[in-house]
Formats: sequence, structure tokens, C-alpha cells
Amino acid sequence: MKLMIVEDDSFMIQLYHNLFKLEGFEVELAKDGLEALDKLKTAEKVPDIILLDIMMPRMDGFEFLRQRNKVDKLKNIPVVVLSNLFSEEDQEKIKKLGAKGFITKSEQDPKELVKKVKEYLPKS
Amino acid sequence: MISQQFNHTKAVAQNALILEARDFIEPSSVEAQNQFHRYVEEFKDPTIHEINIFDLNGRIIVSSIESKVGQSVDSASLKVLSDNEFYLISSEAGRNIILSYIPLVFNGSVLGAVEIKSELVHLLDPIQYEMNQITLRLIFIGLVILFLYYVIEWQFVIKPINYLKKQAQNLEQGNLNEPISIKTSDEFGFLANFFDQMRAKLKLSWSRITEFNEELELKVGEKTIELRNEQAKLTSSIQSLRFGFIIVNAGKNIMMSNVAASEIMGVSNDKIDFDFLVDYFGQSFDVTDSYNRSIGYKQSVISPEIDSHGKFLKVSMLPIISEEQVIGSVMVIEDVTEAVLLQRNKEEFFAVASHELRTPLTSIRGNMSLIQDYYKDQISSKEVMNMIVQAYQSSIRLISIVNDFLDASKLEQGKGLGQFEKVNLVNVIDEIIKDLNTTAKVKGLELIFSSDKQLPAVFGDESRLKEVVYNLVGNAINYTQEGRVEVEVGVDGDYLKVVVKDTGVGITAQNQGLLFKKFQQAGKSIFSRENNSSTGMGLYISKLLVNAMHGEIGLLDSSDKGSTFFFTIPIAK
Repeated sequence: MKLMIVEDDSFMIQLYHNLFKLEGFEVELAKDGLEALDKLKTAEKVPDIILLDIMMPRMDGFEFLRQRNKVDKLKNIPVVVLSNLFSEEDQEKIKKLGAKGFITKSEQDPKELVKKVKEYLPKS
Repeated sequence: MISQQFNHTKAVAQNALILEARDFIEPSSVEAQNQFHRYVEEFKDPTIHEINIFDLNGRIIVSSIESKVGQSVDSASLKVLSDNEFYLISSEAGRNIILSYIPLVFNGSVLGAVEIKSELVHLLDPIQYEMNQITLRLIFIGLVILFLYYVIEWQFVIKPINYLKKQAQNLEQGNLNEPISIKTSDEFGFLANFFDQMRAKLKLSWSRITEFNEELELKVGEKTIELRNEQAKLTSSIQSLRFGFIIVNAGKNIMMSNVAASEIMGVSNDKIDFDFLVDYFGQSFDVTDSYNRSIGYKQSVISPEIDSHGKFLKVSMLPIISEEQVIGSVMVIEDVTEAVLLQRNKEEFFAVASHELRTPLTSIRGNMSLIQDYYKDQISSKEVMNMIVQAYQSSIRLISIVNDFLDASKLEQGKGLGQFEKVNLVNVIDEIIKDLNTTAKVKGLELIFSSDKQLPAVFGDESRLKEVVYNLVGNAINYTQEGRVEVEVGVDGDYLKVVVKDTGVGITAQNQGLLFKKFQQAGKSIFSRENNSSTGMGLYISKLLVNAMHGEIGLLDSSDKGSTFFFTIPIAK
């Protein structure tokens, strides 16, 4: 399984990196939306799932979703939004932009997070 | 009058004749005749035409007319001889003649008589005289009647009319004090009485008018002063306003502009005119359009915060309406820069706190959890493992505090609640009870839930209702060491009322007032709490939530035997 983490906080990147490696995922990292988009566009093998932060410099999560929707090979990859800021409007926006689901980072222990992410994985 | 004339002739006869009577009685001698003539001439009165003396036989013996001597007098004249003087009135050649007969007495014997024929001087015709007399009397009576009529008329008509005329003039000149009175029972009396009533009414009305007028003048005076004071107050109030206040009249002239207006826009007061305002606000606030809308359609135009010349301003244009007419417009310019920045800071703080604070905490929590879940074998020291567990728990608590703090702030701003819907409160409580049952059992507490059957649904945010129930029941379990926690729900008017009763330590009266306050936990501050699983914000947030859902929350009763909390939520219609 290949997983991409789009997150600007280095500590969080490390945490998720460790976690998903421990769980047997092939992990790719991107520091913001723009880097993620570039990497995805040029990637030979696109990830099976993307974990996306919202508040990031250069290109935030919303814009990333918008851009992703314009690229055919990317628009079917499930995206799970990880954030600490979920207002009602944000949740609506995320759904409209085609994200599979959203998880509040601070509310989850790593094991629970893995469990949820696995639920969003495409059934093969 | 006739008798007077007779007496006169009598006297003439006596004077002229009687002294010489003896001689006259004697047969007429020439000498005697001459002497008689002399006497007659001497005493002749122009009115006496003829004097005759005749004897007892009626024969004229002496006469003023010589030819008459020897002739006889009229037989009717002879009765004078029986000693009765008399007179006769007759007419002779159209003239009234008085014939006077006087007897001639000598030594007590009648010797003859005198006949004097004289003209009736004053009254020629006795009938005519009588007639004249009657006429005169009639004239006199007529005059008297006229006079009396005049007197009466003057007394009873002219005088009252003059009086009334004078009184009317009096009234006209405003003299209303003199009573009008004519003490008669005729029309004039009635008229005067009517006049007087009118005068009295006029006087009353006039005095009322005068009184009212004085009162009015006094009031107008007072009001004028009041108005001036009000105007002064208003002017200085407007000048002291912290927002710009500009009055524009219907002709686009600036009638007033206060200090704040020139300070906010950074120009001197005399530079502010309509064109300046149009230029100053440019496209951020269409002054001309707003003015036209307020003047033409009585509309108030209120702008959102506009970014103008490095400041955030709120501009309003309001019509000034007097007697349903728009007489101008008031432009209010509020400098909201500080408020906007403060709000931005606050929002920014929440965003930062939410993201920047929770991100490292999440990292701590995640890593501590990761160690416990994946690297447990690698940590041989129990103490180190214990530290890791404590750090993990603290991070969770810190995250909760941050979450609660942000949640409370959102709720205080009226945000953070989802869509209200019909909620089955019994199901919600059931779910929470099941969730907390384990916790209660661990503590050896009995957790009982009882409710009326078929309760109506309430109207609110389901997830938030869960929070409230979780908080109250959770608190009850937390603060109860032994015994039980009972939850009851039932109808209370238009509400469902949830009662949570515990057998815990209770809350002192002093601390009861601190419940439902931020960061309070039954009197103990966040820095000195005994129970480390709570944030101290639970009741405060519950209160915000319940109030936002139009219900009430509170402490019903508390003693050392336990506490009873309740909350209500409106029944869905």
C-alpha cells in the first residue's frame, strides 16, 4: 500500500511517517499542496490514499483538492483530510471538493488513526 | 273777560254820570246836555260807541248821540229799572257789541238807567271765543301729551337705547366689567339682560383667553429656553461624539460637521463639503447614491466595514425626516479600525491556538501513544514507562483544555452550534448511560436511568445535547465515591427536564455560586484541582450550550448527602 502524507509540521510528518511505516505502508511525504501536486503529477505510481493537512503555506488543502480534481489520474485517489480546524463550513467545503473523509488530528491516537485510514482505503 | 269789560263801563258810567244824576234826571236842559257831553268827551273810551240815559218810561233823556234824545230804548232794556244791572251781547254791523245797563239810584229810588254801548274788544264772537278756547286747550293738551310722550319716550326708549349703545361701545373697547342692567320688564329689560349675559360670557371667555394666553406665553418662553438648551446640549453632544457626524441638507450643503469627522478624515472642518465626501470615499462608499436613496426614498444606507485611507470605517447615511418630509441626511462615519483589528487578532488567535497549539500537542500525544503501542518492549524501566503514560495523559488533558477553551469562545460569539432538529432525548441519555456504565461500575456506583414513557422530542443540536448529558452525568460519577447516580427525565411545561442526582460530597453554599463559571470546578481553580481528568470548563460550556438551545441549567439542591443538577430543553413543536 502506498500512502502520501501532505503536512507542513515536521514533527507530525515524522510521527505519521513512523506510524505508517510501522504499519507496513509505503510512505511518501510532501510539505505542502504544491509539492504534493508536483510529486503526484510526475509520479510513476500514484499513492492508494492521501492524508492531507489543511493549513499549509504556499498551497493549502482546499486548493490542493481543487487542483487534484483537474488532473484525471489523481481525481480518483481517496483523500482523507487531517486537521485540527473543522468548522461547519470547512466540512462542507471539504466534502464538496471530493475528500473521502476528515479526521481531527488531536482527537486520535495513532492506532485509531491507522484503523480509520484503512477504512477509507479502496477495497481491492 | 266780558264781566270785566262790563265792570269797566260801569265804573265809567258811575264816574261820568252818577255824581250828576240828579241833574240828568231833570228834564233835559241845554246846559245839562252840554255838561253831559263834556263828561262824555272827558271820559270817552275809544271802545265806547254810545252812552244813553233813559227814564223810568224808557225815554232817552240824555245821549251821546243827540238824535237819540226823546227816542225809547228797547223794552228788554227796561228790566234794569228793577234795580238789576246786566249786560247783553249782540252783533251790530258785523261787530260784537256789549250793551251794559246800570240803574241810576238816588236816595234809594231808581230814577232811570244808563245804557252804554261799547265794542266787545277781546272776544268778538263768544262762540268763536269758546271755540278758540277749546282749540287752545286742545293745542295745549296736545302739547302736554306731546311733551309727556317725549318724556316717556326719552325715559323708556331713547334712554335705554342710548344706554345700550354706550354699553355696546364699552364692550367694543373691551370694558367688560360694568354690568348692563335696565330694571324694566319690557323688551329693553330683556335686551339689557341678554346683553349683560353676553357681556358676562364675553368677560368669562376673555378672562379665560387672557389666562390661557398668559399661560401659553409662559410655556412658549419656557419651551424656547428648553429648546435652546436642548440645541446647545445636542450641539455639544454631537461635537463630543467619537464618530464623525455630518448633516447634509436637501440642497447638498453641509449644515454641520463635528470634530470627529474632520479627525477621522484628516482634514480641517471647512474643507468638508459634499464633493469632498464623494471624492474621499470614492468607490468604497458611494456617497451620491446613498444620499439620493436617503433623500429620495427615505432609505438608511449602512455600509459594511470599508477599507479607506488605511482605516476601517463604517459609514451610514440616514434620512432626517420631519413631518414626513425628508429635510436632509445624516452621515455617520465610525472609525472601527481598532475593533476590526481586535476582532482579527481574536480570530487569528483562535486559528493560531487551534492549529499551532494543538499541532505540537498532537505530536506529543501521538508519539507517547506510539511508544506505548509499538515500542513497549524496548523500555525496560517501569518508571520510565510510567512517565511516558503520564506525559501522554497530560497531553490529552491539555488538548481538552485547548479544545474547551476554543469551544467556549466560539459559543460566546454565538457560533459553534449545528443545525437544530427534533431529538429523542431519552435515546441520547440512554447512549450516554451505556457509555458511562463501565466507569460507574469500576467505582462501585449504581447508575440508574428512569423516564416517563412516550416523551416528546426536544428541539436542539443532538451532538451538543450529548455533551451536556455526558458532562452532568460524568461529573456526578466523578464526584461520588459511593452510592448511586440517578438520572430522570420528564415533561416540565413546554420543556423536558433532565435531573441528575448523586450521593456525592456535595457543594458548599460558598462554592455553589462559582459553578457554571469559566475554569471553576466547585470552588477549586484550574491550578489546584484534585481531579485531573477535568478541564474545569464543563459546566460553563454546558450552560452556554443549554442557553443557546433556549433551555436552563442549574443546581437544584446540594448537601453533604449529595447534589442534584438539572437542565431543560424546549419540546419540539
